[in-house]
Amino acid sequence: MIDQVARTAVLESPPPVADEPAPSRQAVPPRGRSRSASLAWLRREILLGQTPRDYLKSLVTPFNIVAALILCVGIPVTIVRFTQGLAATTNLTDATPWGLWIGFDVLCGVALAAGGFVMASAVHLFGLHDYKPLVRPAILTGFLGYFFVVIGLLFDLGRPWRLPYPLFISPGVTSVMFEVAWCVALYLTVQLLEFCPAAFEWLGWRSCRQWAVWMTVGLTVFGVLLSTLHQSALGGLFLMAPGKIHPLWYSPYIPVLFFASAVAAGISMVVFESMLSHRVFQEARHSRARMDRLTLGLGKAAAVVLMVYFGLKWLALAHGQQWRLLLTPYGYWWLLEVLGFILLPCLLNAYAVRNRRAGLVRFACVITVLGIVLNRLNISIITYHWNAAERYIPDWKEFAITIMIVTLGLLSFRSIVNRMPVLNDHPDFEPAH
Amino acid sequence: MHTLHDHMIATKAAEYIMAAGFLVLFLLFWRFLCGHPKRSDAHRRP
Repeated sequence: MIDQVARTAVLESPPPVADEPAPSRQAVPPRGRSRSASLAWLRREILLGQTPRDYLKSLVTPFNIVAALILCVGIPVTIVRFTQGLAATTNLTDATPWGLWIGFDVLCGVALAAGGFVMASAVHLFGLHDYKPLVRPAILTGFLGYFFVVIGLLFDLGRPWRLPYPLFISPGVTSVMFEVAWCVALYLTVQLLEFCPAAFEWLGWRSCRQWAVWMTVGLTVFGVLLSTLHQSALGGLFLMAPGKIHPLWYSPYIPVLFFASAVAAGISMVVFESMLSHRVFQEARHSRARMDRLTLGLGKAAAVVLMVYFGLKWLALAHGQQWRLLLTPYGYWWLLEVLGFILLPCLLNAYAVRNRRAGLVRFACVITVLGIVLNRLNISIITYHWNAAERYIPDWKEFAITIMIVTLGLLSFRSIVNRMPVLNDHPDFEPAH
Repeated sequence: MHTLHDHMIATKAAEYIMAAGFLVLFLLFWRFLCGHPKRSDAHRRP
């Protein structure tokens, strides 16, 4: 997964070129400058200071080879999907119109992308400025998460070119999906704007960057509002299927459960992502001790949120009066989710915080992320139509597309972090806040 | 004979009792989480 050569290229200054001054890390060349200045900028910022030949050579890494193989399978399947339709690529039916692409790509993608609004509100609204180093990676993860949610949605829609219809052409204002569509579209825009300071610093556009920084607090407030609405509304979508979802997972409080679990998923994803980032992109200037301290703080927050989520799950069960179902196979599955993937990481986080063990917090956060993925898949696929004679099992092509989308997300994240000031502050700019 | 109304009251009561129990559990958990951290090197301190 580590692109060793690309990483080294970031760490080291660009190799000196004969008869050419070392390129200064300034900005996009202003108009009127020579063509060679533009080429130098392209080489420094896009090719990471290498010649095109060296850059292409540096792309041959184990991770890139695996990614290329995944794309070699995914691209032809994509062509089949958009030329021959859903029937040729999926096992979806009229009875089960939502499958893996909605269950994993959309529901899990949105929940795991919640780190952006969680960290932005913690730092910009609640003044926890210690956590500032984690904001940009979280916002980038959130933005890419939502972007690829929309890509996944395009695969799932029978007529993807009609994606803007519920927004502009035939708005169904009484539908939950109308709210989800608007909130996701607006929040994607908000996250793009929230990430703009990093992009403008990379481009050297000082005045634009100032405007983007000035908007940060307003955007964060708007982002929290939109996230609260659509994270819960995604759960609200399932309120119309009380007879289809297993009673242990169905509850009138499902929007609240979705929101609480999304907050836990967001915090855990920030820990998980920072763990991976600081292993892969080791140029980050923040010391390990500081990252451990921040991880312990996030572990504390995750423990509290998971405990609340754990309580809400039991309250929802009590409200539905479904105790007798706990002693059935689905009941054991429910207990595994609740005890193994909510209570266990909650207690592990609490133990780790008490004993100052950041590594254990990271482990607990990985379990939490898996638990949220399991919860979304339980609701949308595994227990959906639980008593039907014919069950939906995704086609291999659905898995291929999902894996391709995840791979594209990882490649995008790595490309942006290698170029823009995401993990570190830009040396030519004052910190934004 | 129990009526549907009695049953609903019993259900609601069970929910409230459970919510109260959870609140107590949560407060205990909070105290455990936010109390003084355990110091493994306390014996070395003067």
